[in-house]
Amino acid sequence: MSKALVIALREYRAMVRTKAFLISLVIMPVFMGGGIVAQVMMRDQVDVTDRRVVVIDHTGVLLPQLLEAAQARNTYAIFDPDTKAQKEPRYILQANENQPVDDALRLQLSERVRKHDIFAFMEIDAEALHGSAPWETTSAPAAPPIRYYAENLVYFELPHWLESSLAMIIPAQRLRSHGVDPQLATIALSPINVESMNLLTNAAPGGSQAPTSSNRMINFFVPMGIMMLMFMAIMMGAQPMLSSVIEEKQQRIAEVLLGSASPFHIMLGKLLGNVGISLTLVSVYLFGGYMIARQNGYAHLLPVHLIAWFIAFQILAVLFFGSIFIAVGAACTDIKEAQAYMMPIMLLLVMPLMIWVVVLRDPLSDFSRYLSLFPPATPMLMLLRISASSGLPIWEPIVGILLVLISTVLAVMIAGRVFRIGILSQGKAPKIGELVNWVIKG
Amino acid sequence: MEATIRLQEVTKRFRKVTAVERLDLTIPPETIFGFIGPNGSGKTTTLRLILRIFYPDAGRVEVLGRDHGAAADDRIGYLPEERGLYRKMQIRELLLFHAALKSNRQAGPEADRWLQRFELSHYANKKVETLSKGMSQKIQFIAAVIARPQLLILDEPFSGLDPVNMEVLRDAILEQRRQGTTIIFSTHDMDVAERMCDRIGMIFRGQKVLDGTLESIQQQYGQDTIRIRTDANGLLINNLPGVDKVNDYGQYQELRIRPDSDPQQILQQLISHTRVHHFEIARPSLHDIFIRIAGPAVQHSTEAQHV
Repeated sequence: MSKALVIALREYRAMVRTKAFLISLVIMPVFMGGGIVAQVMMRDQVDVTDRRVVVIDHTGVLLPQLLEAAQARNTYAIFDPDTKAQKEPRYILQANENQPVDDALRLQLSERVRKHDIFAFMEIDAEALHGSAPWETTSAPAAPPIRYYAENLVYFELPHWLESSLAMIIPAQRLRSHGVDPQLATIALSPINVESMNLLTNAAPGGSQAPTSSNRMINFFVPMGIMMLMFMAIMMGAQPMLSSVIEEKQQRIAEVLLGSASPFHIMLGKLLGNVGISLTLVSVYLFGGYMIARQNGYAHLLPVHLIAWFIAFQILAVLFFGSIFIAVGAACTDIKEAQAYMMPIMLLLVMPLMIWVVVLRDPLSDFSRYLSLFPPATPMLMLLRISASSGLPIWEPIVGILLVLISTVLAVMIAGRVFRIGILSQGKAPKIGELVNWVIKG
Repeated sequence: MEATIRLQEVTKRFRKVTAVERLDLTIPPETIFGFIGPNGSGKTTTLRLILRIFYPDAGRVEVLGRDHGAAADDRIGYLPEERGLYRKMQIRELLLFHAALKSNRQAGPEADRWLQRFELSHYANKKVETLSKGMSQKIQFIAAVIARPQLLILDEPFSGLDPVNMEVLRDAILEQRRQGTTIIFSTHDMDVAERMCDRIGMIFRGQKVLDGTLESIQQQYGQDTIRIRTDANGLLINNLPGVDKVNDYGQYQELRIRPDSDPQQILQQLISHTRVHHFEIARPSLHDIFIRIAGPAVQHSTEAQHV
């Protein structure tokens, strides 16, 4: 064991002194910090140029109400309440004064949009006021009664505002046309907000903690960040072992080591060294992340049990993937050869990154449960579920970690056999059949 | 005295290839044992069996009184044929790493002593990648001996060294022997084997074909060699009667004579044709014995038998 520790210490020292490690240690916070700075700067750099929209209103009643809504917005809603600085552009709506309304007019307006004379134009058919009950719908789909034309269709804010304004104005207009009191119609149609809240906890003696409102974005990004950190910890911890073993084979260092330590001790040393590297990296990030979260009042999103699960899963994941990478490195003589073997392993590694959104949306579903109990995906997906839902039964992460533990022991044993034979073999990489033979016969 | 190494009926196969077959070998302590044999004959495999990097398919390998256990006995130092050092490590740090791998955590003074001896002290804090090939080889040697091994295994220790470095390394090896270390080294340089080794073993196609002191080996082949130097420079000697084979080394020639030939008659024939400066009835050199066992003639005859 002490030989494994000597090798682990050398691996650790060698890695933490490399530029790659220092860069990866610095680059992530720089990206994260840079992202925040960029967002702050972007917020100050919002384009507040007036957005002019020509409205062709065939109803004859909606445009005045839209103009009124735009006026209200331009007066009250586009300024920062603290600094009074304008933070959003004004929406300037103009009535169409040209007749007749035909494709020639639409083409002319399109040209004006292209020349940036106006930002967009919108056409509201008279049918927009009629509405229809679901049972009245005909089989043939009619043309949409309201159409928005713009060059930049990615600028969502303006059509979104128009849509939400019309969603208020049109029903009110319909009710009025059926004799409902306009004031009553406005009250009936006033918007309803559903506020997302965190669950109550039994923190304070003698009473439960006051419910706090929740930020949906934070609840989305924290689990994602935790999962991404796990991915990075695995990549930083496990992946370098491939090149390290290949380098030792190519430069014939392996045989020198074998003169002093058994193959298993060499492999164990390498694995432990890389677990250390990955723990160092994650400690720095977790500490930094916790401090930032605390600063912003989100420390509760990084509870101690989550960090404990993270570290346990991280150690096993680095051992699991690390031993696979070591086996591939021992079986191959150069990186090129290794790439063929790496493809399926990398797919296993990135699989959680392709499906995490589905799991996050419903962390307690059967689909999420089974997927997160698939050992190669468990470290990332189980952590995602732990951080996304407090209702996760405790047996699930426990079963998950046991499955990963069993898989890790198996992976280390198999890798040990491949490593013992492969580390001294030179020349062409073995075929899959030969590799299986190495594993079975040892 | 108990043998340092005892191999009994050791066989090692790699798939269908038998690298070592029923090998018996005994090496007494405090000797320098030279291991010779053509490329691919099983030398390195035997050394790896002794180191327990490989395990035998059959037979028994006893090293320093132990015939079991995992690889890497701390009492053994190893310099492999293919040299390998971590290029980015500092030299002193690298040597201490190798000492620590042999469970020696107090090797600082020993590392400094060796660096000084090899005149590499000012490289102590430099990276391995800054060293020349000869320097790397010396560092590799220090790594093998830094933990003061009882058994030192050197696979081709002199290959690629210039005469000066070769002498430095030879002295270091001899000093190890004086301190009581048993040394096994494989070599293709027959002169080195003749001059340095107490005992010599030869392996050919996985089987031991020679084992003993130089004298006992030479005795097996008798005094069938005549070494001559003449004015004819080898031009007239090819058709001498009673001579089986002529090895022409340029400045002198070695004649292998038939068992029934009389060296006096050969001398008379030579004198009748040219001026003879040197005439010596000698034992065959190790080089000659090597060629007799593993030379092209043997290779061809065995191949022909296999066809």
